[in-house]
Amino acid sequence: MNKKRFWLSVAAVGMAIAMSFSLAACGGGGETPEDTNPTGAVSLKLWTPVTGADLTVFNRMITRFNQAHEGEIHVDHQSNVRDTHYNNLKNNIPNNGPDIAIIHSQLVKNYAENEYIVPIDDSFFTKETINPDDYQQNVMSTLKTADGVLGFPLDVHPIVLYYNKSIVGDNPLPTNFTELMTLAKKLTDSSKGIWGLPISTMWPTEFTYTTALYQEGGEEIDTATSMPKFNSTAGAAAAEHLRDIIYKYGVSPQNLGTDSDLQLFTTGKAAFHIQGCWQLTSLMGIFEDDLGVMSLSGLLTDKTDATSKNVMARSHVFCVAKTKRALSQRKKEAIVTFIKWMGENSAEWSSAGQIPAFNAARESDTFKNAPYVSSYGDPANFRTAASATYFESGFETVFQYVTTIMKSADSDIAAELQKAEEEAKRAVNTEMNG
Amino acid sequence: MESSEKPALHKLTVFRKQFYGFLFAVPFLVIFAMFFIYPFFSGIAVSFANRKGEWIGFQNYHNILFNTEFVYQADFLRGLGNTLLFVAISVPLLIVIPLFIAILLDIKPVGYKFFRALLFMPTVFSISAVVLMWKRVLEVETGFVDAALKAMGLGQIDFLGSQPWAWISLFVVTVWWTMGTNIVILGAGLKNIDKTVYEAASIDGASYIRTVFSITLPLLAGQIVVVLIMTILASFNIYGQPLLLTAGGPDRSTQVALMVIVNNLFDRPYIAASMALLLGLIMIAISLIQAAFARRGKD
Repeated sequence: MNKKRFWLSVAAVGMAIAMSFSLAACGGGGETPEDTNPTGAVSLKLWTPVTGADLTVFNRMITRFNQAHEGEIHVDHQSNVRDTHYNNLKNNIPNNGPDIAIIHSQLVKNYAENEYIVPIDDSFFTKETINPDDYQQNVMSTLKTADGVLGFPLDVHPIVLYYNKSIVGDNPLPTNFTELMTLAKKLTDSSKGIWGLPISTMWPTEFTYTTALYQEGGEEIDTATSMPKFNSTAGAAAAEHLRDIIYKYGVSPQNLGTDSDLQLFTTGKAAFHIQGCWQLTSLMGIFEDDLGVMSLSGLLTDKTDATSKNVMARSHVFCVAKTKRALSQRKKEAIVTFIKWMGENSAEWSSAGQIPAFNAARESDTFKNAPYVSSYGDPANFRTAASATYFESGFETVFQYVTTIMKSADSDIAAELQKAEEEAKRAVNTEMNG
Repeated sequence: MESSEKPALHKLTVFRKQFYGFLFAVPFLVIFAMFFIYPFFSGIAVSFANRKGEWIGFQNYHNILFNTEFVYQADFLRGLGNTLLFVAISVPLLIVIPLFIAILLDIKPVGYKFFRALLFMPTVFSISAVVLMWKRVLEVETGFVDAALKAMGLGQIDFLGSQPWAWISLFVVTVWWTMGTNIVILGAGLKNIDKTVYEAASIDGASYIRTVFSITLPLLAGQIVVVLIMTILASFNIYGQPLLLTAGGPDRSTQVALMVIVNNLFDRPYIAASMALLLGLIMIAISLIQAAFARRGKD
């Protein structure tokens, strides 16, 4: 080997090692010029947790947007299941994250506090504006801050009560908890293996317990401190109702795991089923004309006051991700154009079983003619989570204790809620200091 | 070596000659450095930092082990306890049952090839497929066993949501899923035992059971140690079965250490890194103790 070749080889190896380490170390971060696609259009990266049947409709909307804005804006959509989506956001923002992310409404404040997202302030609205008053105020009010808004909601998705028309027959539909239990008991037929209202002790307890809590007049947390408020008379009554469905009224098998209640319903062994509206398209395919849908408003309590009509809902919110990439004025305007367009065209989203958060979309014929969606109940009753920085820590700890309560007829509700409260306080403390 | 060449020059010449060989190793070394060495030391560094990336010494380790103000302290200790329980029970099962089956297969009964394939087959399944199958068997109301119990007029057993059934279910599923590899390793060891040793024992009047304990097991000791170390390390990494089958329940009684680490991974990476290193240290300590015992046994 001659000297020149030798030193050239040494230099090549050195460069390869140096480049690999620089790649590993910097993680591809740093400020880069604005992304544009080959046509010169502004390129927007959108990450969402939209999956299943919803994804087909959502992708159709994205395709329509891209066609309508050809040469101006192009949206690249990436979707993942919920946990992966949020892990990806935390792992990639601000270096390699998206421009826009859909975040569930109850998490938005936490993501803003931890600087994963930035407020959409006046600097975004130089070309077009979006009026927050055009959106459903239950959700929108949780997204407003002094610096602007933290995002704009696409939809509101509540839980609803599905029923099998061939089992329920001509019986009048219930209007409160006692009526629901009476009818469910009447329809329970052990000789045919049919249950009135099978209910899982695990999922969607998050939705059922919270709805029962609201309807009993309770609150999840103190919005100022994120500390729990569910350990109350209302919280105990809500847990008792869920337990009673299984043990007192005997209209559900004991110890049902996640989706076992759904499986009983889809196999014709359940009269009623509590589930999210996102399951609608799948159930429509299974039941055809035998599927019935009604609001859960007032059905998990015997109270008749205003809060008794509340039904827990979540919302998909468009947020702007914090990024180290340059966020030019052109890109800001493109983001506003996209969010505005999705709102104005969100009536199509109702074909996925979702309720558009954009008020005008709910007035459209497309929405009004969407099968079953109008049966979800009055959107004014859909209550999204209290807006607090540590909402998950302050409240969601309770669900595993609700599972424990629902697993035994003799469970000590007060003791379990007390334990849940203590753990929730520690969880909030951990979030703040740990 | 030419007699006129000086030693230093000779070394340089040898280095030059060997350099091309080294070049072939560079792609591996670069990838190894990027994806093994860098993350390893990065993980260690993160475990000594706080949320803002500031150096805080052993504070994270102190918080995990002693600070009851933070939820992850109880979570980690509970998870570690559950992991140790799993290791303590699953490892003997995963040695004794495969050993028993390997010895049976080594006799070459009719259809042994079919049974060997059947017993190994679950090993190639993914954990998601395994859990889906077993959920259909064990779930309340919709599961096969529940239907069988009902048909026999017996009461319901909540296999996945009550104790001790949740643990029993996890052990059954784990043994069913993973014993194939151990059967193969132990079976290969059995094949290597000289059959004349058995013949000699038979001539001396030794019973079959006696040959198992006096010949098979001692001569299989090397394979058993390998299987033992592999199984202990694999059992410490238990994750998929409790995550997908019991979701860590009931009351987090099957929530294992890796689940706790993953729960903290994205919100508190510094805590997750510290937990992972603590778990790693425990595994290293146990492996060293095992190796010491194995060496002493050999001596």
